[in-house]
Amino acid sequence: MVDSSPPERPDLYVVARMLERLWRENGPMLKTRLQTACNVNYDVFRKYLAWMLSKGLVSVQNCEDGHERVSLTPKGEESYRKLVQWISEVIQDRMPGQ
Amino acid sequence: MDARKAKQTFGILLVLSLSLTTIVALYMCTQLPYSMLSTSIMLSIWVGAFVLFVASFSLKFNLAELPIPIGKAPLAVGSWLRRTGSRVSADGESIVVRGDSFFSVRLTFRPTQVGTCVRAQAWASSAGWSVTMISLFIWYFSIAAAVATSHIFLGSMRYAVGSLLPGLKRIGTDSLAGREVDIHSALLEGLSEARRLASEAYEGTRSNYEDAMLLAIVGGIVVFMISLAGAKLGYADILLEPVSVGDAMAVSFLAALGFTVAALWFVRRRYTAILLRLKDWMLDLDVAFQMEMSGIAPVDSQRSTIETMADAWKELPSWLSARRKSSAYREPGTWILILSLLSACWYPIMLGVMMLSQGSVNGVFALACGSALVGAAAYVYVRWKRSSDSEDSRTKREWSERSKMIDDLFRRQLMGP
Repeated sequence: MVDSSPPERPDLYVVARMLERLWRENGPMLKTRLQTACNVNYDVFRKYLAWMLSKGLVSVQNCEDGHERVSLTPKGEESYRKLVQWISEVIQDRMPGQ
Repeated sequence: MDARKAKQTFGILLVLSLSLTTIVALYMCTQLPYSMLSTSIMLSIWVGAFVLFVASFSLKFNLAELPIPIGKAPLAVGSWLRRTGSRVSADGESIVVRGDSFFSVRLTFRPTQVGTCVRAQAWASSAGWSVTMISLFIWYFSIAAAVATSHIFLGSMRYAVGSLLPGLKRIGTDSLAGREVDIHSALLEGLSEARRLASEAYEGTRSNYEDAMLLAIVGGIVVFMISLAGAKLGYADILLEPVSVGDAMAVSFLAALGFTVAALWFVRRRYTAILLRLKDWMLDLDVAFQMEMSGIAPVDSQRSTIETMADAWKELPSWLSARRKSSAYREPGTWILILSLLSACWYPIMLGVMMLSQGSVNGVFALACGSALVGAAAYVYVRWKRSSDSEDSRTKREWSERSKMIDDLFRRQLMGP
C-alpha cells in the first residue's frame, strides 16, 4: 500500500500529468508504468499518489498477479476534464469556468 | 444567395468592371489630349480594379443553415473549425478562417426561423491584403490588383463550398457528446488556438525583423548621404583644403558600410533567438495537435498534452504582444503621419544648414521648422509606444489574473470548497 506523506501544496502540473496519463490509459495502469510515464522519481510519485488517493481522484487495486494498479475515479476524470476545459477557454480568450 | 449564384454574380461584376473601364477610357480619351492617352487608360483600368475590389469583398452569400440558435452558432462553428485544425480568428460576431497564405473566408451569422444562417464572404490573409492594396494604390499595377482580387475571391468561394460546407452541415446534427469527446475536443481546440497565436506571433516578429533589416539598410544610405555632405562641407573647413569627390565618397561609403553591418548584426542578434523559440513552439504545438487528432498519446519522454497547453498559455502574453507590435507597424494612420513628418523635415533642415553656412540668419527659422517636424514625429511615436506598452502591461496583468483563477479553480475542484 501507499504510505508516504502527501505534499502540502501539490504542484498542479504533476497532478495534471498523472491525471492525463490515467485518462489516456482508459483502464487500470501498473503503478511502476504510471511512475515512468509521469517522469517523476519514486518518492515524489508515492507522495502524489497518496495525495490523489486521499482526495478520491484515483483508486489503487491489488491484482491477482501481485501488482498494484491505479485507475482514475469519476471525480478524477471530472477534474481532468474541467482543467482541460478551463485552459482551453483561457487560450481562446474566454473567462474560465463561466 | 448561394455559392453558385455568388460565382455568377462575380462574373457579372467582372463584366461590369470591364465595361466601366472601357466607358471611362473612351470618355477620357475624348476629353483629354492625345498626349495623355496612356494616363487615361491607366486611370480607367484603376477604376475597374477598384470597383471589382470593393464589390468582391462586400459580397456575402448563404453557405449553410444550422439548426442551432444564433447565440450559440459562432461558438459551435469556431469550435468545430479549431478541432479540424483550421486557423481561425473570431471576434464574437464573425469568424475568419484562413484558406491558404493568400485568401481566407469570413463567416457571419444571421438568425432564421429554423436556427442560424451562416454567410460567407471573400476575405484575404495579411499577405493577400498587402498585395491587393499595394497594387491598387500604385495605380500602374491596377491589373495586378484585379488579378489578385479575382484569385482571392474565387479561392475563397472554392474553399468555402468545397471544404467548409460539408462540415458545417454536420454541426448540430452529429451525436458527438459525452465526456471523453469533451476532453478530446477541448484539447484540440486549445492546441489549435495556441498554434494559431504562435504562428501569428512568428509572422509578426518575422515581419518586424524584415522591417528592422530594411531600416538598417535605409539608415546606411542616410549615413552615406550625411557623411558625404559632412565631408564636402565640414572637413574642407577643418583641413583648409578642398576634399575630392572620390575621397569624400570613399569615406562616406566606409562609414555607411560600417553602420549597416553593425545595425544588421544587432538586428539579427536581437531577433534570431526569438524567432527560433517561436518556431520551436509552432512545431511543438503542431506535433501535439496532429498526435491528438490521430489519437496517439505522447510517449513517456514527451510533455503531456495538457502540459503543452499550459506552457503555451504562459507564453501567450508575449505572443499577443508580438502580434500587436507587428500590426502596429502597419497602423496606417500613425505610421503614415510619422513618415510624412519625417520626410517633410528633411527639406527645411537641409535648407537651414545651407543658409547658415552662407551666413543667412533665416537659416535658423528653417532649422526651427525642421526641428518642430522632427519633434512632432517623435511625439506621435512616443504616444503610440506608450499606448502599446500600457496595452502590453494590461494584457500581462489580465493573464496573470487568469492564471491565478485557474489555479484557484483547480485547487477548489481537487480539494473541495
